[in-house]
Amino acid sequence: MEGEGLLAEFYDRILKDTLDNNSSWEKCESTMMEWAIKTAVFKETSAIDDIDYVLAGDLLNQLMSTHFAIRGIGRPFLGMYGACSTLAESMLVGSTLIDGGFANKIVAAASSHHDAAERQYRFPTEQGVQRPMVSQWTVTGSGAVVISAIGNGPRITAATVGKIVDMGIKDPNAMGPAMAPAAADTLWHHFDDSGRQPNYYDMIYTGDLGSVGKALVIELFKAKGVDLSTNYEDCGCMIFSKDQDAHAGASGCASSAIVFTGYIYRLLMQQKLHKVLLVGTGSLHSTTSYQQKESIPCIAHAVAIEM
Amino acid sequence: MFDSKVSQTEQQQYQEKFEQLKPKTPILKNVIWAFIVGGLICMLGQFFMNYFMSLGFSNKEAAGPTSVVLIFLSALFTGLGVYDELGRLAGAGSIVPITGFANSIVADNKVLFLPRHQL
Repeated sequence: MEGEGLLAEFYDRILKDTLDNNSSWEKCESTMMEWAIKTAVFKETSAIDDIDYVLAGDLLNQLMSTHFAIRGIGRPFLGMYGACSTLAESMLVGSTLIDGGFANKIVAAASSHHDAAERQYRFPTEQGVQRPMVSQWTVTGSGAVVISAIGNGPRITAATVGKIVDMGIKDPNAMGPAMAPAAADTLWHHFDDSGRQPNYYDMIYTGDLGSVGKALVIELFKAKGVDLSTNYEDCGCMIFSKDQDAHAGASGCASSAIVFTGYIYRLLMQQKLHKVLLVGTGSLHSTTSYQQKESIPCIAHAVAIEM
Repeated sequence: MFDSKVSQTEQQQYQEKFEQLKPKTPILKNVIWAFIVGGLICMLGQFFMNYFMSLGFSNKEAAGPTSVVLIFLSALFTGLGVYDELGRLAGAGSIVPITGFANSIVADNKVLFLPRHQL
């Protein structure tokens, strides 16, 4: 589905189906991540053994896909869980490891798989249910970035760690609207801490808020007297076209991962974008918390990338 | 933007804002689809029922084999990946009949069948 979407030309590799000759969706997700990490390292013209740390995560229980993917990598590894904000979180931690002098080169990666995630969080995919219009479609994909102490690529110049914001939304189909306040809060603190204005950035991207969540972020900022609508976009609104019936857009770790590694990074390298703020957004509920009728705690992490 | 502890009024205000922006469910379209598909499934059931009754079963006796056939067909089309596409359009129209129940049972167990199917 992603391969038929709006950004198809920017992906390094498109699988023909959601199994790709694996015996399960989870195995497919693992192979995707392993391939993404190896390709990112290869593109950076270094060897896997040059990588000091791998920081990665996904959506499944106990980071299943990630752990099986990293098994084949054989480098020191830290599992990251920030739900759909995992890539931004990994980049944030990875860049501080480098800045602190604890590493020269790290890989940050994230993946998600629609069928595997649906099975865990909602219904089995073969069950004939009608998805509500506010729901989003979990992206099947994986993205990896290499962050190095030296090099010519874009630089991570600032990052803001988010705090958990919970506005009491309980509907697990409305994750974008649940996450929007967390994204707005992190953005607010980022501007406050760094002294930068929203117009400092060419583009501000949130991870996977979808069309409804994106509108809510703009609303929340409008209420504070800040206009965000000119240079703000959501990765979840960029992957699928209207006729793909994804309803409110895309979600999942891979939403920001494939848009950042495929599309945004390429535009940065082509000098079409110079200053970008990537805000990974994650809803930190579990299947158990949903069954116990808890609301959805959400988080967002911001990473500023400049060329 | 928010205090470390979000107040209940803030939560309520936000949820109201969300309700305003929430995309509307296309109820009329869904109802029409549910009516047509649900009706067709029931018609199919009636077709089998009449067939079994023509074989000499009484009205009560024909109900058993009719459900069995519908459950089998639903399970088959779930396995073929057709029933969930139907469900996406028809909603309650394909969930409420006995075929919807068969679909949910088979969908839940498909994980067990998948690896064997791949071999």
